[in-house]
This record gives sequence, C-alpha cells and structure tokens, in this order.
Amino acid sequence: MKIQETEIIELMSGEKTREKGVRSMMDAYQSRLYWHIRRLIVDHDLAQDVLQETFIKAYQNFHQFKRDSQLYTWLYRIATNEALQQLNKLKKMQKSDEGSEYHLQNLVAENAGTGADEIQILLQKAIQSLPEKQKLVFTLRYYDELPYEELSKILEMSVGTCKTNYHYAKQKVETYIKENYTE
Amino acid sequence: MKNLDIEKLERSNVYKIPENFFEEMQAKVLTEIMPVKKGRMISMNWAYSAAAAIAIIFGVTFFVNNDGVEKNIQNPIANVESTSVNEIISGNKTIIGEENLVKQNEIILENSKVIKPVEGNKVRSNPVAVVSQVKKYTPESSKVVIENAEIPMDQILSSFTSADLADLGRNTEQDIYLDLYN
Repeated sequence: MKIQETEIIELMSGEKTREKGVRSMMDAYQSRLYWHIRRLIVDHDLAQDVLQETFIKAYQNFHQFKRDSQLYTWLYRIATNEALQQLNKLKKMQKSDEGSEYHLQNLVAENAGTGADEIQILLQKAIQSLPEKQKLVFTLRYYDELPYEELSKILEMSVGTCKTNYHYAKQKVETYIKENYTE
Repeated sequence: MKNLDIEKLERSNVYKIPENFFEEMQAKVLTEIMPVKKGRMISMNWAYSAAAAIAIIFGVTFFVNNDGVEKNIQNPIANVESTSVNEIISGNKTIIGEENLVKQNEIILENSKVIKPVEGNKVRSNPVAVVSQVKKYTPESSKVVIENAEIPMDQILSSFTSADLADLGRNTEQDIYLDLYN
C-alpha cells in the first residue's frame, strides 16, 4: 500500500501525469471511501455526490497535501468533512438532531438489501443513533480497522479521546441491538 | 442475545450499489477536473508581432480616412446637412468645398427669398415651393427648416394676394379625411 501511495503522489505531482495519478488514486481508494461515506449518510445518491466531491477537492487542493502524512489519511479527512456537511444540511432540513436520526434510521431500512441479516440492519440503525463523534470513530475503527493514531489524525482529536469514544459507541450499539432484536 | 459481542460479528454491508457505479463516478470526476484541451500554440517572434500590429494600425487608419474622404466627395449634401440649418440661415458658412459652398449659398438664397417678402412685400416667388425644395435634402434638416418657417408664416400668408391663394387652392389635392366632415 505504501509503495502504491508513493507512486500515486508522484503521478499527481507531475503536470503531464496528473490525469493518470487521479485515476490511480480513485482506483485505490474509491471503494473504501465510498463505504465510509455511505455508512455515515446512508443514501446512495448523496454518497455518490460526496465521493465525487472528495476526489475533485483532492485534485484541486493537492498542492496543500503535506507529504509527512499518508495520502489515504488526507483523503479520509476530506471525505469525512464532506459527509458531515451533508449531515448538517439534513439536520437543518429535519430541524432537529432527533428528526435527522429518525430519518437516517428509516433510510437504513429502505436501503438495506432484501437478504440482509437483521443484526446487520440493527447495527446500522444503532450507528445512526450515535452522537457525531462516536459515529465517526466507531465506523472508522470497526469497519475500516484504522489504528487509533490514524483516527486521531483524520478526526483531529487525541488518541485517548478516540479510544474513549469508541468504547462508549460500542456499548451503545450493543445495547441498541439487544433491545431491538426479535428472536 | 445476552452475550452479544459485536467484534465477533461479520463486517458485511447491508447496502447495495448499482453496477458500473465506480466507472461512471470516475468518468464524472475526470470530466469535471480535466480542462478542455486547447489548440496548439504557435510561438511568434516579438518583432514579427510588432510589425503585424503596426501594419494593422496603419491599414485601419488609412481605410477609415479614405472612407471619410470618399463620403465627402460622393455626398456633398451630407455636409450641408451636418451643419445646422440655423447656421446656414444666419449666414455662417462652413467651407467644405466649392460644390458644397454653392449648395449652401443656394439655401441661403432660398431662405432669403422667404424672408424678403416680409420686408418688402414685393417678391412673388412661391415660398411653399422653397420650403418643399429644402425638404428634399433630409427629413432631419426639413424639420428644422419647417420649424423656422413657422415663425414668419403669418407674414408669408399676408404676402399672398387673393389670386395667389386661389391659384394654390386649385393646385392642391383634397384631403379625403377632411372631406368626410364636409
């Protein structure tokens, strides 16, 4: 992964190789970024818009990328910020946090495939019931299995805060599933 | 469900994505960020550029000047039009060319004919005809002439004898709209 990242950065840096660099960047990270965004905002069309915007911003602001951090960390940060902007728009439309939470949980049920496991659907609904920070930490740690050090860089919070948030998020998710699971 | 540990659950996605989604997304991103390819730029020596610019400037200047002279020659009346009729009447002449000067003199002469009867009540020239002659040049100038002609109209009318008025009445066409009310 590290070698591939270096190649992408080199390609993105050259004027003539930039297009190839963008293609390589999208090939390498599109799937991980898409699923990260989709778990946060649930709706496919919105997730698509956010993903596109993430790559466009990465291309336009590539000169701001500091080589001391990893490219995927930087891309995750852009994607997370874009997704949070979408969630804030949703909150404004729903006029309250509870309203948007309820809306997102309904979206989970609508968007879930027909053969999806009940526990998996409940898990997604439980994620939508979490506060913003816990939601971000939980999805990045649980699904993307990112180390806490990377989490702290992406979310700009300390490693300790990330660990605490993950711990509480995990507890809340388990409680939600236990309460709502019908055997 | 009492001993649930989510760490032991499979990390699966419950959502579905359309086929070829990533290919289409990539295409959209690329069309958004890649600039439209421009045509090949030909580098040019600055001396050639300067020479071309000077040639264009001289060419345009010559063309504009030449076009102006041609217009002066072709349409001398236009020059007369450009000078206000008031100026012409008052006798302020603008020297444009011999031919134009003659035209100006004619107009002055014609106008003086209009005014003369007021002074002496002797001249029998037809003032309406004079006004219509001036009208021929342009509608713009004719307006001015008519406006100026309105001022001494009473004086002009008073200069006509009853025989002249009868003669004029015979030569004029009847106004059909006025005739409706007769």
